[in-house]
This record gives sequence, structure tokens and C-alpha cells, in this order.
Amino acid sequence: MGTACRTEVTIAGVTLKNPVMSASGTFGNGREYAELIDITRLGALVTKGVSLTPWEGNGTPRIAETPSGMLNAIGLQNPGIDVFLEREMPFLEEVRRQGVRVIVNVCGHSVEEYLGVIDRLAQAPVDLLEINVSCPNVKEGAIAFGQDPKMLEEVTRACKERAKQPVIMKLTPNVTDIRVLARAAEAGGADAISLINTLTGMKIDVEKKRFLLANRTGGLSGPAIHPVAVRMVYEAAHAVQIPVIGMGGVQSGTDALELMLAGASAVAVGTATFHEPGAMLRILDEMEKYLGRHGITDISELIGAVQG
Amino acid sequence: MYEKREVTARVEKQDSLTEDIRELILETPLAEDAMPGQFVNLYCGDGARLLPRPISVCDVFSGRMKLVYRVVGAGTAELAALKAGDTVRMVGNLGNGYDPRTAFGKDVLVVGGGLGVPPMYYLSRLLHMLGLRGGAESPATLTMVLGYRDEASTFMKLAFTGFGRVVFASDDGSIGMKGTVVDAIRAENISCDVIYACGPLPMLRAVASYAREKSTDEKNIKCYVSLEERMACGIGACLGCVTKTTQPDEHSRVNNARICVEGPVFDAEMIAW
Repeated sequence: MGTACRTEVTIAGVTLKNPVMSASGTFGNGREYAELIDITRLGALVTKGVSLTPWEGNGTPRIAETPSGMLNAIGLQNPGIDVFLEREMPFLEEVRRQGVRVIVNVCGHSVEEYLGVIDRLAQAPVDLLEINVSCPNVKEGAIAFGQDPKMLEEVTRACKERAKQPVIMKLTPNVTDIRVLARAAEAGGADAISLINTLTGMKIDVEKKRFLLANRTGGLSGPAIHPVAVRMVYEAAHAVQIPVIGMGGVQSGTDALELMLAGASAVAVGTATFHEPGAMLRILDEMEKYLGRHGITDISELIGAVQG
Repeated sequence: MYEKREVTARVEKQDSLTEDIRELILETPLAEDAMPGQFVNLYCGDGARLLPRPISVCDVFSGRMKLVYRVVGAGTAELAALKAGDTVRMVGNLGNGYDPRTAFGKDVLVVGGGLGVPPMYYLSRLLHMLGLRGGAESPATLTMVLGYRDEASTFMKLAFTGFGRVVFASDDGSIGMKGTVVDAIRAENISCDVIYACGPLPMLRAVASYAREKSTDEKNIKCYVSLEERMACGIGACLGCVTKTTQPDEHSRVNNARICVEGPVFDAEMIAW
């Protein structure tokens, strides 16, 4: 705050007052953290994944800590689009009135389910849609759409045809070549891509000889995956013309700036919030200090500006 | 109710109660409004350990909060190294806690097993105070049944003395009667209208089933249990710590309730055991 630097960034024609946003699934729908921090400072709020009907999610334990990271296998539990619109939307509308862009994360087991949610959001005060084709923790749909370039392109096209808001496709890092998937999303008409979702992992309790997670596998997040995110954001950003939203283990302003230099137009923060509820606000402060220190007048100058 | 908040607490002192049980006294404003059965999230200083450690409130007194926890891994080992004057970052007060109104005029049975004993201290002390005040808010009787593995792992054994009748049980009979807390309740034929329990899941399941068994058409024994689960956020955002419920939960609209918000204290009838 208080710097002369321009921190706005634009994604698919939507301008965010700063590039910092919550990562889907780590921030509920904003209400819970609003009790602890000033969420109106965020550039955007990305909701928990919303499906057509209520989803139960996986069994417990759903969480395991790992060195500089964590595994989760929530399984996209959510109350469904009807409850979302009725109960969460009024709160999100108020947050949006205060200058925070609202991005709704959409999940489904089938193309029809994605489209059902997208249709229900047509009249909602939502700035962008993020389509989750990358959750490693649900059995059908989700990640299957995100790992096959043909399917990804088709899902993207179907979503784009119906969506009233610009569409961000959220990609999984659990692929051999992220550039192929990034190009498929672009070919399908995506307005932007976001990456990386979590890396599939597993943890075993050696004493009990049992899996730590009920789902056996879970998604690895946290600082441990940050270098993987930087590499993949770099590769994806150089493979497509559409904007990239970078995420994966960001816990400091430096981490966020690294993703921007690699090619991200905006940055999402997830697991860091569990360690420090105000992490996003501190990260924003640290980014602004960097801009001041380097005499940068427009943060978008940094996007993809890594040299050598 | 006060709001949840993040604070930096100062360590007043820390003692060992057994080989692996520690008692940590923190100077924190969270002590002002913590309710029995609520918990706090303590954050590790080592950034490689990201998730907060949820610890139940054992007691509060004059701006101090007492936490009794077990050293189980690197994170709690870090907490165990805290010394007087050190600081620790924490968020509280979390969860719903026990509702003392459910004890008014009732024969109350408090059950704690192992690490489930500490939160029952604050609850028992509060119920005892309500009893001393007399009137409509006073519980009719207060009995506490505490279960431990064995004598060596016993802690806070004398702390409950004076609040009411205290009965002990242990796996090997080295303290109190040999058997489970439910064995002790049966053996002592303890009558009650309401049960508050905290401890390992098999114990809670047995206590809930005992309450159901002893309930009749004339007298329904209410049973409230405090559950635990691996957590990430602790404030209801991540949906990591859910428990299966018999009815769709009001928040989630599926048969899962968040332990950190709707709990950790649940009416045993709501849990899909």
C-alpha cells in the first residue's frame, strides 16, 4: 500500500486491483477467513469447487502433513449450486461490491454437470469461471478431462459455448507435457488457464502399516511443489497466447513474483493460508515493497520478464 | 461470543506431567472467552511444518490458558521445547464447546479418557461452580469417570477432586478399576441424565451406546461427545475434518459435519457411529 506503482492486472478483459487471489478449496467461499482477515484487499476470491448436486467428498482422514507441504483428499465436498447461489452468493456479491473479483470454481463428473452449473451461474454476479478439470481426488470426471488433450479441448469448447463469463481452465501437473494440455485448452477457446493443481501423492504410516489418507492418494500442495509450479507456469505460458494464473506453494512475495516472471498474469495462494491466515495480505505487501525497491511503475511489466 | 482471532501468546511456563504429556501455560487474551470443549490452533515456528496443531483448552484463569497435550511428533516436540518468555502464534477460540445449559438441574456424568481428560477439567470446574451458586442453573449431581492406560500414564489425577465424585478406570487396573470407563460406570451403577465425553473414538462409541441402552421412554439420557480429526484450517474453510452424521448437515447439505465448526462437541445421536 501507499506505493505509486500500478498493481492492476487484466485477465480475459477483467481487471483485478492486484494479482493476488485465493486458490480454490483453501478458502471456503471467503466467509470463514473474513472473520480473521480483511478479504477486501484481495485481487480476486476463488470459491471452493461447486457442482450441480451436493457432493459428499471422501472419507477421513482427508489431510496429512508432509515436509513443507500437505496432502489433501477432500473429494470436492460441496453443497451444490442451488445452496451456493442462495447462501453464498449474497456474501460474494458484497465482497465484489468492495472491489474484489469473484471467480467461481466449477466441478463435475460429466460435461453435462459442468454445463448445468455454468447455466445456473449465467445471471450471477460472477467475474470469471474456473473449470476444475484437474482434481486428483474424485473418481469420475475431473482429472480424466484434464489429462487427455482431446477431451480437454472438447470440455473447454462445451463450457465456452455456454458460459456467460470468461472461462479459465484449471490444469493438472500430473501429465507428461503441460504444454500439450495448455495448447488444448487454448484450442478449445479458453480465455485463460490456471496451474498447477496439486501433485498426486501418497503417505503411509509405517508403524500402523496403513495409508494416512482414507482415499490412499491425495494432492500434494505447499512450498514443496513451488519449483514444479514455476517450471510448469513457464512452459505453459510460453506455449500459449492466453493469460496464465500461476499457483503452487506460494508463501511469500518472492514466490509470487517468481511465478509472474515465469509468465503468470496473476497468482493464487492456497496452503500458505492454513499456516498463516493473513498470508495473502503479507504476500501482497511484500510484492508492493519489491516494486518500490525496483522502481517498477506497473506490475504487469514483470509478467514473463525472466531473462536468460 | 467473541470473534475468532489470531494472537501471539507468551509462554508463562511449561511442565512435564508424564513422559509424553506436557502442560503449557500461555498468557493470551483468548483466555477471556474460551468455553469448555473449545480448542486453539498453535502454529509451529518451523515453516516446514505448515499445519497448525489443534489443542483443546484445559483451563483458563486470569488471562492465562492451560493446554495439556501429548508429544506425538516433530510438531508437538517443537511445542514441548517452548520455555517461559517464548512466544507462539495461535488462532482461537475454535469450535462450539459444551453447552452448560444442558446440565441445568441434571445428574451429570463427565467422562474423560487419556488425552480426553484435559478438556473435561475446565468443563467439570465450570459445572462445579454452577453447582456452588445453586439455583436453577445448578447441576443436580456431578460424577467424573476418568480412564487411563495405566498408573504410569496418569496425569491430572487429583485435579478433579472437590468437584464431585471421581471414579477411575485403567486398562491394567493399576489405577481404579480394571477395565474401560463404561465398565466403571456399570460397576459403580452411576445414574445420570446427561453425559459429556471426550477420548478415543472406541471409548466415545461405547459411551454413546451406553447412553442409548440406558435411555427409556421416561428418561432419555443425552450424550455429548467431543470428536477429533486431522485438520488443516481449523475454521471451517477446507472441509478436511468432517464426521459422518445421521442426517444431512445444515451447512454441508450432505451427511458430513465439520468437526472444527459444527463440533468438536456433537450430540451423540447426530453421529453415524
